[in-house]
Amino acid sequence: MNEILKVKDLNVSFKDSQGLLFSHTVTKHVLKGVSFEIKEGQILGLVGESGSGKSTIAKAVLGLVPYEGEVIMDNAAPSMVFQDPAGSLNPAKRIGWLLDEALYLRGEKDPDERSNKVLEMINLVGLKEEHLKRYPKELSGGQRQRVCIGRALMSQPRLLIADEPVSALDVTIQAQILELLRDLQKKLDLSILFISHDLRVVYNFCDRLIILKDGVIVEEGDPKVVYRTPKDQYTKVLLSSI
Amino acid sequence: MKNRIKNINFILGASIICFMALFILAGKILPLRDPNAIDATLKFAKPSLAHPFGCDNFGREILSRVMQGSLSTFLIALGTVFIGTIFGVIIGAATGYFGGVIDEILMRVNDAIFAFPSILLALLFISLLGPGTYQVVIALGIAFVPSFARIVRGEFLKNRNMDYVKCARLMGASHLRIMVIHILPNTLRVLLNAILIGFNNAVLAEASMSFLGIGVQPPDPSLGRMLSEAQAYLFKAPNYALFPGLALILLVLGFGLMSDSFEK
Repeated sequence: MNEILKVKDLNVSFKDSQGLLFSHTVTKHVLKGVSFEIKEGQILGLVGESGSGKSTIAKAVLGLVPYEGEVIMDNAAPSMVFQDPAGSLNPAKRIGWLLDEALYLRGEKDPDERSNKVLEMINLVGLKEEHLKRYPKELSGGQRQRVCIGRALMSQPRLLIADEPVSALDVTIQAQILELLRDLQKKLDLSILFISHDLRVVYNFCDRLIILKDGVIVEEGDPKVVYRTPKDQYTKVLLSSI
Repeated sequence: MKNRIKNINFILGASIICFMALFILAGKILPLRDPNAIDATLKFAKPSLAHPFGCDNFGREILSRVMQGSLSTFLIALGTVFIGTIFGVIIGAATGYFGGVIDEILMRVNDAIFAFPSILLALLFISLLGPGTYQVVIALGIAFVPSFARIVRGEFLKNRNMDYVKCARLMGASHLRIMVIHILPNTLRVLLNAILIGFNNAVLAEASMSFLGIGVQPPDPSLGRMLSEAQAYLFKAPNYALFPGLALILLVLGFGLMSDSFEK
């Protein structure tokens, strides 16, 4: 199996100025030497409490923050699904337009071809053609997240980065969205970097699991194995909290 | 219930403006006397069937003068708001979206302009440009830019950090595309409200400038000028002041009610 994403010794730090009058800059290390890889068709779960640097990993992979270290990727750019589906869809645009734009921005000029692809995608994520004419606020949270996933997949990425994609949703809807992601992963042979703070969600969903604490990977392995025999103290604490 | 009240406000405001529009239009279509035609025999004629609003100190037809004056007031307000909106949106969008040094410089200039009352500022521009209708539009337009820029900047500032903008960036949308196609439609509600209030202020500002004699030049009629001329004959011919005042009130009230309905 080939690696889709390989991260080697990733370091990210932010400079922060403190104090009002006599300010001095403090360097805050968010990620300290993180290394991992995602294989083709694999779902990698990235778990950690807030502030552990989960989202920073996603940002570094997408090139949104400056980093040190190596991020080796398949040539197709990864797509991203955000936590809040309501905020990540432009409220002034219709669903059809939002999906279409992803193709337009990729330089696909033929409108007929684009609308065919949009139609295909809306069906693929489990919505209907009639939803294309609606505005984001006219959809439920789960439907909105389906649209977000569909839009992310418009560019036919090999890797999908999902940053807490189900945290803002009800438990029943969570299950549906996870099922959809599983489905799509199989159909499209996607790899997914699944960021979550919830070990319960990750347990059934991911092929591999990384636990992050204060910017350091403390545990890595098959979720079932990690659950049964946690090696690190922090993992034990996390597991006991379930 | 609250929604219904706001709707009533809008309908009421819109009907008043429609009425004024028809009134202005009627002045262009109906075969009335020339607003500038002088007739000594009709000096201070009382309102009658032949002269519905009466005649002024030169025997000019007040009805056609109010119609013509409303039109020029309306057009000047339109031009003012147009200039204010266009430049306000450009400046507000650029400063709100990019922030940084440009934001600091432009907003401080903005603050400086904002610190003057718009009439005073317009007076300054008029003294540079000379009196006249077009000069009034330009002067008031410039004076109105800061308020629009401020409102638009706030909206762009609020929107630029939202996830949908990040998504668009990630998908490769350019800054210009994000500003015009993504964020601008989301500011429309606030902007529309600002435009209606701006209209209101522009109508009043134009009237006050004409009242001071630096707006529309005689003999052309303007609501503000008519009011200032009517001052001297307030007791002799109250209808002279009454009708231009009424037209002014209706214009301001109409836009005011409409903008009220847009407030959250």
